[in-house]
Amino acid sequence: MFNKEDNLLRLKDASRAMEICNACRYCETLCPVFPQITQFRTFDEATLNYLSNLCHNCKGCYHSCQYAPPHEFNLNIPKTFSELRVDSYIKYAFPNILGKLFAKNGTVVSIIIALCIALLFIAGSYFNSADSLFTAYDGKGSFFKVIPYEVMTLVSALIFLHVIIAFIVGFRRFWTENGDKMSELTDLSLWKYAMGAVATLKHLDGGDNGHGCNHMDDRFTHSRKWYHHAVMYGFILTLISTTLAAIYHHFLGLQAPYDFDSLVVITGALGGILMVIGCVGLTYIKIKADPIPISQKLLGMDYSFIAILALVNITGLLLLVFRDGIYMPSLLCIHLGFVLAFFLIMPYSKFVHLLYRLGALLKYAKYVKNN
Amino acid sequence: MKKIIVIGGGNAALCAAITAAQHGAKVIILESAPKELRGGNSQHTRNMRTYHPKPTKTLVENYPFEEYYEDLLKVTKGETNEELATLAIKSSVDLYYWMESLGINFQPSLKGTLSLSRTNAFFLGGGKTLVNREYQIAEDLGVEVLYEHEVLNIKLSNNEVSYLEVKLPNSNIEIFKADVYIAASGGFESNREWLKEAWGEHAKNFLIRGTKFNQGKVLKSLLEQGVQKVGKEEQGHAVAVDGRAPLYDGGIVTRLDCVPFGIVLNEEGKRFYNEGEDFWPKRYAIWGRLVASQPNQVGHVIIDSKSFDLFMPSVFEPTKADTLEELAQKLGLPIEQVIKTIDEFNGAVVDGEFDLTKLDNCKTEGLDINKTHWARRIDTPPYYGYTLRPGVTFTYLGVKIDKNARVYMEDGKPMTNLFATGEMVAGNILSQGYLAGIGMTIGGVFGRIAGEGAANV
Repeated sequence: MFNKEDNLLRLKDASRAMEICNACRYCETLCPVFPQITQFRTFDEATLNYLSNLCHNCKGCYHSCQYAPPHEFNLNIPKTFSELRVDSYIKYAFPNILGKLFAKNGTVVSIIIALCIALLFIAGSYFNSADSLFTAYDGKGSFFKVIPYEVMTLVSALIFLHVIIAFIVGFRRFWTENGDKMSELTDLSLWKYAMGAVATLKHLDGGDNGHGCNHMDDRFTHSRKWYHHAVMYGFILTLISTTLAAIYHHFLGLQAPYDFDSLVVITGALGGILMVIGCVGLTYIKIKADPIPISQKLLGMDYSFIAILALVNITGLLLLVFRDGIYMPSLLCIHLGFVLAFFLIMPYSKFVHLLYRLGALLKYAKYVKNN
Repeated sequence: MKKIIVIGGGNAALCAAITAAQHGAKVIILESAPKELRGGNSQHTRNMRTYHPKPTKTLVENYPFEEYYEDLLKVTKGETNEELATLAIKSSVDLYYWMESLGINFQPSLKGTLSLSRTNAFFLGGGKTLVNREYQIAEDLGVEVLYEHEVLNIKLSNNEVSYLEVKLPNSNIEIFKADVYIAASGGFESNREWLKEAWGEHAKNFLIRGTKFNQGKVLKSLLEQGVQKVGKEEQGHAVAVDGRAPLYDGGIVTRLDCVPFGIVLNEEGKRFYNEGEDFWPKRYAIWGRLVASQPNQVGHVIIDSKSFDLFMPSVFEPTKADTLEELAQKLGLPIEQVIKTIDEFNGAVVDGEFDLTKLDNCKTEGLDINKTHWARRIDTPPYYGYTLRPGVTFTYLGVKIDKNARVYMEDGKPMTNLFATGEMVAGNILSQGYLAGIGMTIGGVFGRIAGEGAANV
């Protein structure tokens, strides 16, 4: 599905599409892709990889396009770019061999999740007493009676290290592909623009008028932006929760689980709820949207990513609710299983859109600065 | 409740339908295209020429009425209907604000169109986005849109429309009736047989830049039944486009902006017009006609590598060669004559300071047809060639209307229940020539007038 030959065909098609766009330019203020392409007359692979990652998949250009199918030019930029983006994810992935996971995400994800959960169950019962899985615990440190602290920390640290290395190598591959130097990233003004755009999802606003994007059909709405905000800020809240928990544990000597009115639980629960809302909303949009500008073969990858993200949060919220009962040990194992699976596949899942879209926005910031 | 049928589905038809619905009428739109191809030529447009006394969100400075009117007189060589032209221009600013109030978005003029930033309001995303929004507004107001409903005949009796004969998606023919009718179904530029009748056999080599659905059936039906016509069959807006453009719907990307930077040869390898007469936006409209009068309706622009990066890229690859002989051969032109023409041209170039932002002093002297600006020797390989063909945008033959958009019969009587707008009435104002973006102004202004008039009949 995602082999070299298909990639070459897609690059050729994207290059043809960009040449048509460059001669038309009606979409110039819809999103950053269109002003950016006016700097080029031909489009090589590095440029197209950059442009496809700069595309936020808002579909405005498809619904605006006088050359969209059934026109014989058959321009379908959102679809072409979304497939090219995945090609680029595969290309930048570290280690390269794992890049292949992108193409098979649906099945692979479920297998990994299953394995992780099984491992946790085994680890839990091995290191503790055999009946610990269906015992009600209470009081501080109860989680570690199921899974020993050392196991939890070591496994998490290893996975975290793996994600960081994979991200740094992948980002570097993306950033330098079109000749940009890593040293240029020390320019803080680029970060200011890019982080601002990420924080506000500026480019899902449909251009300067801020009327929104075409998520379902030719009407402009802001729905996808709000659901995405829910996921993104929910994710950040859970990261804050985890960080706070680590600080409590290591520096304040306070052991999990924490009280319902503690900052750890409040930020974690709020983040979890936000992410579940966002995941449901984003799925609804995908199901209801006009199918033509969407790459059908990528839907499996999108759905599996949304599903695991939702499951991480649903299991986390369930754990919070039932943490004083006999289901705690199994829920803890299941929740940590999903969390581990999520982070394990993170560098080979849709999550990397964050990495490369941020990179593309940094490159675009450079273009804006120089013009 | 008054029932109104709007024939056509472009900007003019939608402005009429929306306005009529806003005035409380029950409106049905009969659009001959399927939904994906709706919107007539409006889906290919990008802007609307707009009079404005002060800057708007996207239009800079001001564009006074007098200047707009003068610009119109220049292109039509003074032949226009003063009353209707004045009305269209004066109302264009209201049309702009009305559109904005309906949630239609504009954007600043595009890169490479700086000359239009003061005069033309650009639709965000182009005409298709405009039309999409107009359909949404119409549907929100309860307008019923019937796609693939082609009006074949509009039956008149005693200055009145009696009924319409409509071809349905299943090819059956059905009668449609309403209290009032608004005709906004365009010109006849997509009807190749009619084009040949009007412009001769060589019209077979014309490309149509817009929709294939403008067959002129309603227009023909009206003119055959004694409706007063305006404009001449052979008048219209045509430009020079890339010869490899599709037969229909090539739109904006098929235009070629390189003419002022090179020379244009016909099939005999000879130049036939001053390529540097004026800025391209002011001249590109005449080149369709110029090319149409050459053998086989073809022209070939030749430029060298000095000029290659100076114009908007074309969507098609140029023919490229390292020598002029090779280029002539690849373009299928007589090699000796091409070399002779270029040698003569190069020999006549007077060196000046090349400046594409103004009418510079690079010119030729002593040729039968001089190039008066931007003339530089064609001497730096590689050489590039583009083939030009006439691309028809729209025709001006139409029906006579008054300031209320009411259609008139040949005997001078107004029709009681028929209004018209869009390309079908453009000939009332445009006798000849073209002013970029005025077609959308005429359609929108008279669309609103027709919609209100129809609702209040």
